Amino acid sequence: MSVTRTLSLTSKHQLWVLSQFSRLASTNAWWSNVEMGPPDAILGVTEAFKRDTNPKKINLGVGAYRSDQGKPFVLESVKKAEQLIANENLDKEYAPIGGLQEFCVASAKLAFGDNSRVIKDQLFATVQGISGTGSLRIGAAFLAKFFPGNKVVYLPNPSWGNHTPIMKHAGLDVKSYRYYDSKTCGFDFNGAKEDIEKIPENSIILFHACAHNPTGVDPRPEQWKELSSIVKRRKLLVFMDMAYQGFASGNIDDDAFAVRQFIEDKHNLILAQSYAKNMGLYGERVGAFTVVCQDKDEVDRVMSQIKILIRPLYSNPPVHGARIAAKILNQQDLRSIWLKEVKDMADRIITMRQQLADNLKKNGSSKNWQHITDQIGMFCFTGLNPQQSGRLIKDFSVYLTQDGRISMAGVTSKNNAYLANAIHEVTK
Amino acid sequence: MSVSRTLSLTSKHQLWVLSQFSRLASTNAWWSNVEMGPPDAILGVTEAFKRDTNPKKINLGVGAYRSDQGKPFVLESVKKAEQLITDENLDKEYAPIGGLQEFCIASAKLAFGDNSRVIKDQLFATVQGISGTGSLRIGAAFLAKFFPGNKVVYLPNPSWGNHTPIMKHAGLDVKSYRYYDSKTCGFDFNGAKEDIEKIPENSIILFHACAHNPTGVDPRPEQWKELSSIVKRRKLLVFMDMAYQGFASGNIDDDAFAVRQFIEDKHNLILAQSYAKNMGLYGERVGAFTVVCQDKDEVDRVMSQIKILIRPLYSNPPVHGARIAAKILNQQDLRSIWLKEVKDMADRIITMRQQLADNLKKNGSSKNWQHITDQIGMFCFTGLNPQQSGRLIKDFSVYLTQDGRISMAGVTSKNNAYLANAIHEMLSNRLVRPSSSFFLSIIRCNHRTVPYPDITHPEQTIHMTETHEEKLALPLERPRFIDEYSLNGPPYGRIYEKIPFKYRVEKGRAYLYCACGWANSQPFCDGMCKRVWGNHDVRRNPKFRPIKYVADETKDVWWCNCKQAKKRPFCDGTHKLDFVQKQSAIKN
Repeated sequence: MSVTRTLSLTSKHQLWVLSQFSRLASTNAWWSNVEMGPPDAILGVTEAFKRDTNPKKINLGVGAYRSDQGKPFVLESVKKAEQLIANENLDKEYAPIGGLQEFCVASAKLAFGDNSRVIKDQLFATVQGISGTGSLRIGAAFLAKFFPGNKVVYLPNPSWGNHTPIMKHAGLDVKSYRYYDSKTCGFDFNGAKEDIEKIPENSIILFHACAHNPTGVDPRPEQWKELSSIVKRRKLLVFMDMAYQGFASGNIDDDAFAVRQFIEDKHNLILAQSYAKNMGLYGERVGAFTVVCQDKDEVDRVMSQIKILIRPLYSNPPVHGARIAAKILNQQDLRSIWLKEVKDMADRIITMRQQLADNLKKNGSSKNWQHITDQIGMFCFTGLNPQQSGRLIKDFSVYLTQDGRISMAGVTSKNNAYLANAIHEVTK
Repeated sequence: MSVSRTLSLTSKHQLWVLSQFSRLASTNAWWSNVEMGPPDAILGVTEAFKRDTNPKKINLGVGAYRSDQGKPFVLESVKKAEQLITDENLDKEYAPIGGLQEFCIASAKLAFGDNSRVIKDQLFATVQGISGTGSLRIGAAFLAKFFPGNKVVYLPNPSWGNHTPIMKHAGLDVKSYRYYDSKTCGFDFNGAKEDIEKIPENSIILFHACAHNPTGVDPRPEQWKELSSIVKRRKLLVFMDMAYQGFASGNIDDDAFAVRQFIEDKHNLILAQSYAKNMGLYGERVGAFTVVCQDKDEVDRVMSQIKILIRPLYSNPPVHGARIAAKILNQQDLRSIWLKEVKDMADRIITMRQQLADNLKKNGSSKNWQHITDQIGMFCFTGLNPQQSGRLIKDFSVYLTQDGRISMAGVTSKNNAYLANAIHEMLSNRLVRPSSSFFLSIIRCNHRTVPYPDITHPEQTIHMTETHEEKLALPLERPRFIDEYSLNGPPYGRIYEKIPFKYRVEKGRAYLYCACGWANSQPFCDGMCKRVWGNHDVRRNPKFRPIKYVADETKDVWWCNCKQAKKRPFCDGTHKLDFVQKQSAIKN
């Protein structure tokens, strides 16, 4: 024992590695050292919800839209599009590596607007991606290989939990800038401005284009304009993550304001889009990744390189969801139905927010709940701390994540009052 | 100019990087230095095929099954399953990270057999993957993070072209072992055994479970058994890639023989499956990745880690195709229909192979074509070399890849005779003119190591597409300039470098000037133009070809490297103009 103690750390490690190899060699037990990974935080919430027997239980962890009956919801426009596609008897051949062309072009037009200079001059290099995650992942891979500046992505604090693993898995470094002000439950504009001023030039900064996840806090239009000019001055590459276009305010053009403002200010930004929420195409995995380029030649070069990155990831994207999305975006009658349905979904969320705030006041709560109606999109940062969230789960069977985030999609006109009452009880 | 020339390469590069940063900062031009990627080789074949106007043209590059009418084919079982799914009015909620449970279990049972110890003891950690590529990629990511041995994957030589990028992209090293014997067009069993014996212990070895792509050459059952015991003795982790189960022989159990044999021999292997070919679900992206574990505890641990790897890749897999596959595998009537359809597809391929071999014999071919029927699966390594393949394309409009690989899926009962005739005719004709290699060997354009001819040693030769003797044998011509081409002239190539290159030409010697800008051996052609413009165009239309210059005397000549000069191939100062200086060049 004393002999090994006097050995240096390196030699001990070497001995251990050798012993592992010989153990390996004899047992065919390749994975004995693979440890159980940490359980998924949000999944844990859903599993606990399923086990709960309380009839009044509410699941507010779910990140998918629910109807007022609390059921998953397939859009009418999606059903119609699927029927049309079935009638066309299409084959199931491989899509091009960059995805269905009609989908990519329509997706870019949706984001930038038909009259944008990006569309008119064809300055977009757009590929179909595997919903938002896949599109972000392609972008991260592209940045890791080709970004000529600092390969560091600055995320808002807080951001979607999967942003950091995506960037790191692709080989990028991750830092953050202030975003959420827990005192006001709103946007920390001054903090954000200060931090952005300090970001080294030629770095990458990521914004949630609308309906920030998890806080629901979005900058106001004039704040977006100011951010755009600061970022321009700091010479940063803008990475826009737009997962809720149409879903936030109910209007696709309003929700794309930030993206279009930055384009107007001549940022050559990169953009990840998702159709999981606004078309309810969650499991079909429909999304797009776009690089806005200087000229047509750059578009061709960038496209060729993106395809080379996609090939070793999954060769080519799934066709089914993209066919549905393309049909909806390109066929006028389906598009109108879709726009109305998106507005309805957003309106239900906004109505639930209003009802919740009202119910909390009715319960006699003295706290300021204005942020519930100020925030936008599917998620709401209630401002509850982990202890209060824990009490909500334990005592009232209201399931949310420990950061106090609730999914408004899980709130219905039936459970609204119960929820308000529960929140009031844990915060009074 | 002379100052920068005396600086070392590193400092020049540093200066360039600095200049890029400041240029960046001022222009918002993030991607100016992103170069055009090399065009996809197989795609190039398909594009040339589309441009061909010959009514008898055949596309044998395609890697997807075609019916005997040459059409894409959706299986009846798939259509029925899709109809049932539509009727169920399912939602479109997210699948679990690991995919649809009913699909994963059914997929594992299909591979290992219902009675396998792996299934009975539930020793499989199976996740749904994005067809074969995605499943391999998950496996590669898992190995890169958790494999306790040498993170090197040994691939058969040759292997599917995308294997190497997948492994490397995940961070694994790639080596190979002998597999294909070009002399016999068969399996190089002794070579494989020798190479596998030399693989360091605790490395990873990948096998194609059946219907090897691209050769179609599979080990025989007794050879698989021997390979299994050698690999066991060498203590290697086995990575099985099964993309053609059922498609190779027509029987799903026979095609899974290798996998099941290795399982019986107690290999804890890892497996990637694809349903693109055997269910025709190509674009729906249905596949599975499995890790065979020691015990249930290991399955849970491994599953938890695989999910953590999937999340930053794409969160969760597409549901539609997996629902179809799960229904087919789990519903007895659909499964029976499917098994019959898979057998029909495989039988059509086997029949085409037999017909092709018979037709070649009927044409009077004396070559041994036994490998056409010995090989199995969609692809067939004909044994033709790049020159012969090129002539098949040029003279007969039969499109295949340069390695002589044909996709039997593109062969029908209608074009079988023409194909056999084409192969035979091409082999019988003597060369009547110098034949340039129609294809290139795989070029990874490495612009940093351009083999510039050393002008201080004029006797040093440059590698060119035609041999020196062939070039000398060409008729002596006066120098050709741009006016000798079509009215529009050759298209302007990509700017290679913004300064001309001085090279001493010898009297009477012919030089092919690279007009496209892509060659590695600037300023002379090495065949890249065929890749850039497409083989077909370069062959048929002189306007895309390198400009041939035969020197009338020995002298120093400034060759245009910017490819924009009016007096190409010679410099006329165009590189100094603004529009050239502003653009990016291939060589810094």
